[in-house]
Order: sequence, then structure tokens, then C-alpha cells
Amino acid sequence: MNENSLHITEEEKSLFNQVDYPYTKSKDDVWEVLSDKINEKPDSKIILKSSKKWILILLAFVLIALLVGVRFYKKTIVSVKGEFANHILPDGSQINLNSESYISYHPYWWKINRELNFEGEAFFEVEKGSKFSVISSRGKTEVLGTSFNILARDESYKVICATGKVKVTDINTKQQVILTPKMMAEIKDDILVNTNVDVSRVKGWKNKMFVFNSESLLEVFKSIERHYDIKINVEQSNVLDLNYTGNFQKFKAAEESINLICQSFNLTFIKVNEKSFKVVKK
Amino acid sequence: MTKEEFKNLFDLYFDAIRNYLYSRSGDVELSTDITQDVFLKIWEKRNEFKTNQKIKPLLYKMAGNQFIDHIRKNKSAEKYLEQIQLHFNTETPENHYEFQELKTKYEKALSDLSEKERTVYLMSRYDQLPYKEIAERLDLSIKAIEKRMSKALLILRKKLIPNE
Repeated sequence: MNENSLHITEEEKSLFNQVDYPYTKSKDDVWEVLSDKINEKPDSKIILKSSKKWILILLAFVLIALLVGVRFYKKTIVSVKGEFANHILPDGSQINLNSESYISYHPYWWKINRELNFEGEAFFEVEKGSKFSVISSRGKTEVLGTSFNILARDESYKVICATGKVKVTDINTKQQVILTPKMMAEIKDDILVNTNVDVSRVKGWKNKMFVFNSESLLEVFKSIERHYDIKINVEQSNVLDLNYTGNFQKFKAAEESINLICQSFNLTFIKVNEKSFKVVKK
Repeated sequence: MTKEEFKNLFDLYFDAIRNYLYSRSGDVELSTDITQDVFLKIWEKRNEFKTNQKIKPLLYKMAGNQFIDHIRKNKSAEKYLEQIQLHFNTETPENHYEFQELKTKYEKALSDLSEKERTVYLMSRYDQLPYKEIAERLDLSIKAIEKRMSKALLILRKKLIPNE
């Protein structure tokens, strides 16, 4: 075995071509065994395994999407200017919405958490049960089966408790107060509690009556505007600061309501068109 | 990988892998068994291979690993290697006795080589693979292959050629 180079020589090649390793099984013998083993396990099983995984993942996503969709499905009830709206919640609690108000909640989540968002004015009659929360931009009212009135418009937040007990929270300052019947809470800079409120003011709008308790004409005319879906233009702004106390039915014609107010204050009004009125000093 | 593709792979590399194992172990049965196992594993995991994956060095690696696992399990003595045996498939020359003597000497010399040297030597001479190919299959540099080869030749020369 004389080699001068690392590489195989022709001599070596021919020599090694005559050499075998003494295997007992041939290549074909082994292939036979392998072939049998391969045929035992059908392809389909393996393909199913990997695609099954993807099907399961897809299914999981679809399921989660469905659950999330159901859980977060939101229902919104709106009452426009000049209209009332009534709604019964999944647990039987009732809400009377005054004009230009809305509520929204998740119907499929109601059983777990009775919580709704609200702006405007509405009267709530809550069935006894778990905590019932009404959330507005300025305040939150929580109850455990009772009836109450909430006024949440713009910067105002007023709650009047008719029956039961009500907890009112200022969303900004987190101040809290608990109301019992005939108590009213109003949020301005801090929470004011005013006892002995005339609950009829509450029932007033529900019973188709205007009820005003020392309220500015600005508020009075606003209420009238909202109810009839009209515009009332008052020339002299100092008129708006005047206070009015009184109640009267919601006349069918806007003129009649406006007229009534004007009479109390030496004012007169002009009907510009069906939807627009002008109020001036006599 | 279809069964056809697998058969092609088997046809291409079965012998090489088995020879590789034999060069390391000197055990014909073990070499056959492990090679069979390696190819079966390849078939079972065929869906896990990426398209560009190099199968060749992988086969050698799997074979080598399984061989080492086997040694560990059996904890055979350090001198695990049985005698490398060569079988000549042609008529032996007239000087039968001398031939046999040389053959035995050669086989012993081969067995005395380290695994690394022997494997490279046999892959070159028996499998007749160029160094580049050996390097690729064993995942080593060509320089490393050359080094092992020279060493093998040195030792073989010493043992087989008296008084050199």
C-alpha cells in the first residue's frame, strides 16, 4: 500500500472494487422491510394531523370572535325631539325616556352586570336584583331595585329618588351620596343634596305635564322646544334669567304652552313658522 | 415526499450510510439495523423537512447520533470495535497464504486506526468519494478531511510496510 499522494490511485481503485463489506442482508432485503413498514402507515393519517391542527386553531378563532361579538353586542334606544320612548330591559326593569335621550347596554351581558349608558332624561323603574348602574358623562347612579329620575344633559346631572335607595356618584370628583325617596342630588361643582323635592316634578313629564320649580325661562323654553321640536328665539337675553314656578299640561299646540308662559311674564310671541317662534317683551 | 421520492433517496444513499456506520463500528448487523432505522425516521418525519434542507449530511448525522446512542446504552468496553472485515469477491491470488496474512494485517491495521481516520479513509477508498464530497457529508472542512487522511495513511504505512 504505497501511496505518495493523498488521493486514490487507479491501482487502489481496482483493488477496492474487489472488496465488499460482509453484510448479511442486501439492500433489497432492507427495502422490503421498509416498504412494508411504510405501507402500514397510510399517508392520509399524517396529512390529517397537520391540517387538523389548523382546523382547530381556526375553530377557536371563530368561537372567540362569536363570543366576543355576542358579549359586546350593544343595544341603543333613542328618543328624538318631541318624542317619548319606552324600553323594557331583559330583567323586566322599565325605562321611560323623555325627548332627546338615549340609553345603550349589552343585552347578552345583562344577567351578569346590569349597567347601561345614558344621556338625557329618563325615569327608571328597576326590578329587584343585582346592582343596577346608569352611567352618564357627569355622574353615575347605582340602585338595588327602586325607582328614580335622572336628568343628565350637557353639564347638568340631577337625580331624584322616587322609591327605594339610590347612590349617586360624581364621575369627575368621585364624590358619592345616597338618596332616599323625595331626595334629589344635583352635581354642579360638588354634589348638592336637596331634600323634600316634589316628586310630582318627576312624574310631570311622564304624565304629559310641564312641571317647573323655580326654573329659569331659559330652561323652561328649552323644555318646550324639546317637547314640540321647535325653536324659540328670545330677543332680550335678560328675559331668560327670569324664574318660573308652575305646572300645566302639555298642550297639543306649541302656541298654547308658549302663550301660557308669556302671560305670566308680560311677554308676547310671534309664530314665524310651524317650527319657529319668537318671544318679545310686550 | 412521495413514496417514489423516498425510494430514490434510499437507493442513492443506503449503501453509503451503511458503509459509514460499518467503518465506525465494524458491526455488520448493527450497521444494517441503524441504517434501516434512519431511513424509517426520515419517512416518518418527511413532512417536517423544509424544501431546501440538505438531506445528505442529515442522514450521516442521524446515523452517527444513533450509533453513539447505541454505544452509550450498551456501555460496551472502550474497544467497542470489532475487527473490520473485508471480503474479497474475486479469486484470491495463488499465494493464498501470503495473501491471507496480508489481508489480516490490513484489517487489523484498519481496526487500529481511530474512528475519524478510518471513516475518512474508507469513504475515500472504499466508497470512492472525492474529499469535497466527504467534507460535505460529514459537515467538515476539506482541510480536516485531508488531515485525517494523511494520518490514516501514515499509520497504515507504518503498520503494513515493514522497516520503512
